[in-house]
Amino acid sequence: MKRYHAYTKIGGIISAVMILLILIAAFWTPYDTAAMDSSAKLAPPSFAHLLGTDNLGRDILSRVLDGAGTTLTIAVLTVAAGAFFGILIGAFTGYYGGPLDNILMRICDMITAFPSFLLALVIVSLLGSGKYHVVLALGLLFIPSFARIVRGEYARAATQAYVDNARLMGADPIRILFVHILPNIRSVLLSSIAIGFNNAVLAEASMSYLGIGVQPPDPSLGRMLAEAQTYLLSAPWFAISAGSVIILLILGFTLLGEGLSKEAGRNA
Amino acid sequence: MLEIKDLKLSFQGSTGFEVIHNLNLSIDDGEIVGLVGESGSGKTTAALAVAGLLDRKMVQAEGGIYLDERDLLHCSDDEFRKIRGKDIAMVFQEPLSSLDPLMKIGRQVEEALKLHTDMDAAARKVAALEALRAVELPEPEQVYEKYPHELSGGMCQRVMLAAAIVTHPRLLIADEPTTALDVSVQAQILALIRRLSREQHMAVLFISHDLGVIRMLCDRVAVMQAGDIVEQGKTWDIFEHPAHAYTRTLVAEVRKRADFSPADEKTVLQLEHVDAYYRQGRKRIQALHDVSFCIHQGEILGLVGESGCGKSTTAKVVTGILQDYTGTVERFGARPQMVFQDPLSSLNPAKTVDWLLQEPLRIAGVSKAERRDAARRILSRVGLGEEHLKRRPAELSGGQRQRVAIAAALIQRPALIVADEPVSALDVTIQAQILELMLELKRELGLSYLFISHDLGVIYRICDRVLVMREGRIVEQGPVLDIYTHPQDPYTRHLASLAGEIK
Amino acid sequence: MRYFLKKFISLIITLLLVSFLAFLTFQIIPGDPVTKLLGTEYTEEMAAALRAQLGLDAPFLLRYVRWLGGFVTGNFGTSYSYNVPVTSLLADKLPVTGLLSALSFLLVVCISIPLGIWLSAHEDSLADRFFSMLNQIAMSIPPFFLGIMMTLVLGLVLHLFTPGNYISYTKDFGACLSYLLFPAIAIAIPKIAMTVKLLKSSICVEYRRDYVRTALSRGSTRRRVLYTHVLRNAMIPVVTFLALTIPEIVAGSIIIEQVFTVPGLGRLLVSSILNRDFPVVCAIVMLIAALVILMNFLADILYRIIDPRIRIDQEASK
Repeated sequence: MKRYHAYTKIGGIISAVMILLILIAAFWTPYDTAAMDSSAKLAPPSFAHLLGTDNLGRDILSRVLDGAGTTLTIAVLTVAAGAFFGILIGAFTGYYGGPLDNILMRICDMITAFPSFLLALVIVSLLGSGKYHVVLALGLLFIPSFARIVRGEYARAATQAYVDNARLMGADPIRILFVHILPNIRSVLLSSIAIGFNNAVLAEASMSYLGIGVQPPDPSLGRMLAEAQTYLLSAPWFAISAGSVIILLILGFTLLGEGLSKEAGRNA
Repeated sequence: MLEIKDLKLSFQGSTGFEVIHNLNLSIDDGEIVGLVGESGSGKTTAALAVAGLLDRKMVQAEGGIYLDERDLLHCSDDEFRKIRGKDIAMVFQEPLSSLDPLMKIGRQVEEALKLHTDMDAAARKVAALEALRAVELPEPEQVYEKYPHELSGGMCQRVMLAAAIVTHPRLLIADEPTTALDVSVQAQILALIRRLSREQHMAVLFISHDLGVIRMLCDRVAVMQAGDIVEQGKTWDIFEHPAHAYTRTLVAEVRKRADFSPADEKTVLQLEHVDAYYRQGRKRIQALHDVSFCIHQGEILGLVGESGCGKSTTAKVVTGILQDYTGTVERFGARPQMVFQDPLSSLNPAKTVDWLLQEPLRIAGVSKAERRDAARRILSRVGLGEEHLKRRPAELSGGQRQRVAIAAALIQRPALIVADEPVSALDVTIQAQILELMLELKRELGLSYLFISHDLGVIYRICDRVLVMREGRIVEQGPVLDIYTHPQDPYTRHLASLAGEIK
Repeated sequence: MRYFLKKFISLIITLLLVSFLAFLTFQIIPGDPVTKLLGTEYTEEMAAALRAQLGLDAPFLLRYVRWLGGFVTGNFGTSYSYNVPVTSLLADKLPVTGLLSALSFLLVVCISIPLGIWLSAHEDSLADRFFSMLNQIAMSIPPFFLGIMMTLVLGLVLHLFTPGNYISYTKDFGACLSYLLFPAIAIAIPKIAMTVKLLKSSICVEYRRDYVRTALSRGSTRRRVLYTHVLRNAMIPVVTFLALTIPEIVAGSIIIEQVFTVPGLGRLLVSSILNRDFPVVCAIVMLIAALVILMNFLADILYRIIDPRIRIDQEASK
């Protein structure tokens, strides 16, 4: 009945496979991520080590999937926090308008104008690095961008005749906001969640790469890339594996978001 | 001069289908020919074919379109381009969006001259100013320097006409050029088209769904239905002696007037001295001035006026959506419900018909089994079946959607339904069905309506009494027949004369 | 004119607001810098004397005014870790980052606009499909990973440049530029992808507007319609987007400098964050904040110049 855009299908498959691999890696990895094999330092990909080993002889596949787990956790947590508070703020300010809406949106405009990665750096530099500080910083920064998008949708919806109709039925504001309007902004919301997810992955990887994000012993793709850069010529598979996982994570969700927004455009 | 012979058009591609089956039509120099039909009848496609604006890769054409013996259908793109804009010009329905928002009016009027003549800039400007003067725009020198958004819709349509006639074309194709305009502006544009045609000896192919407009303007008329011309002839003949069954229904629908039973004494709504306001940014604008009226049980009260006169604000005050008013509004019986012009936006697009019908009862706390029964009952009452329950609004036709909207209003057992332009977006035959349904419900349930419309014809057909509004004030009210036969207020007289002798 | 004045005042207010936030963040929250400067062994008297010397004993608002005054006159304070004025640290880094950002912005503009126009003219062709897929991938590559791959392929394998061998612009401007070209490309590629996508969809949207049909009905060719009508309308969102890309590019260069070991603001910022050298962090953040606010202002003004509709709306609502 419902036809999906090619992007939605490809993106969905990539994302599903990645998430599945990461979930498996959370319980079982081919090698212990900390186990060092001194006889096989910087070994190229082989059947024993599908993606080769790193400078300490650790299995890259295991470590990359483990690192992707951290990235995914951070991304999910930040997007969840940003979307939840963003929807709450955006729904009320968009529907009711007024001076509070004006002030809040001015602030949101200001915050979203800044590169979020830079602000996250500043916050983390004050709080100190670490997994949860990254989540806190990024989550906080995602609220305004979600709020802005949701607000716009609600402000538009508030002028629609179906909302007038809901009022005439005697529906209370909470019901109008979340039962009547929310399903209508679903596609916009889904595509901005996809975009938010990508920004989170990218920001986390960048921060960790700079050494200001996730700290050991938590595994991190960004930090792995920083390490791999030293062995770029002797073991290019190290950097390529870590980078490819980041790209696949982002690509999956970009395509998914793109496909969803194209479907929304087609239905409208 | 223009001759369309055995024209067949079909869309290519996987779902290829024929839109025009066998079209024959000719237009003489200086003649105004109307092409009338409902949406989807193929009238716009035919017009675009004459102007050569159909994508030749997408549309397969057979037959011939001849402009003085020259076959337009089979000439090259380059050849056609030399004719388009020079011999054949076009104006469209939406005047504002048909003009480039970033380009000054002057340059847009001159565009055709730049493409088709070797006039220099000064000569072009003289010609453009002359064209702007010819379409009766005040102060053409100033208009020349303006941008489209600085002009009203009527003025934009005059600019479009000026840009079309600047090359003195032999044929003007006008595709619903007055549909988006108010009645009084509409009449001015029609008069202008007629004058230009006479003065410049220019033929006009005038496309419209509105029989009233066609009747005011055209020498001859061709009636289209589902890709065929079913009847053509002199306008007067067609209106007085329609031969084809479809034409007969069209003409009859416009003139019919419902039988009226006297309304109850019981009042369902009473407004006294209401002033209402709405907000635009920080400003509070008064939209209604001292509005008083009442509606009796089983009565249909018409509310007529041009866009922006306060019709919709009145609806919002009556239903209680707009709270910012002074004066008294008394509603007797259950809360009034609304039926809107565009059911696609008034029915929540994310929900199914079943959900939409049940929602008011769900809010009222009715049990699930009762809700389901009530939804099915009300759906069959408005002439739809259970197969429609699982559909979403986008999966229904315009007429079906409006039936669902009426059902959703009805399920709450209101004493009064406020209908804001409920049939304006519908074709004439569907219009008739929806109006018939509304009358039936009135007779059977003793329902009252506040029926808002800009269309005097529709008001005439179903209303008992009518209010005429202008600039937020009620300028006249009374029984429909009195208003139409003896309009008192100058504005009403003006409106009634524009709408033609509908009786 | 009134509009510009209003916008300008709001620009100043925003700058003040941001500076106050920055002051709170970097001067108040991190605690007493005196204890950091003196190390572990000091007496209360020494601390009090230093506090007085640094002006830290003054009331809160006075400190803010002094601090702001310093900023306006170019005195950004003293670096904790290098114990030199922040200004002197910034002086030779700023041009490097500026050059890198300018180069990458130039690449974005010069490549994406012609490419977007060309692709929109060939909508749904094989080339278009290929490029849209490539575009999606380009948007998904983290710029720093792109940088690493460029180092590997172009630097280490093909020897087009020597990674890590940055030459100062004071020594050899040409050599510096040709080195910076590679990090500039790494920053530019995802931005090019985004701009192409935006421009292409904007052109396609404009092509479906009624005024295009009007222009065609006057006998214009599609090509003429594109250049006289469509492109101007389609550029409105793109120009705004490009102005707002500039701060993103500067932020992007912070990471890329790390990859290519370019001694610019980015590397300074990262090392300062790691050393918790707050005056330096604060100065850099304030600089970028000023850039962001300025670019927003510029985007607004540009928008108004291109689009006559907005100018009028503003005056009408006055």
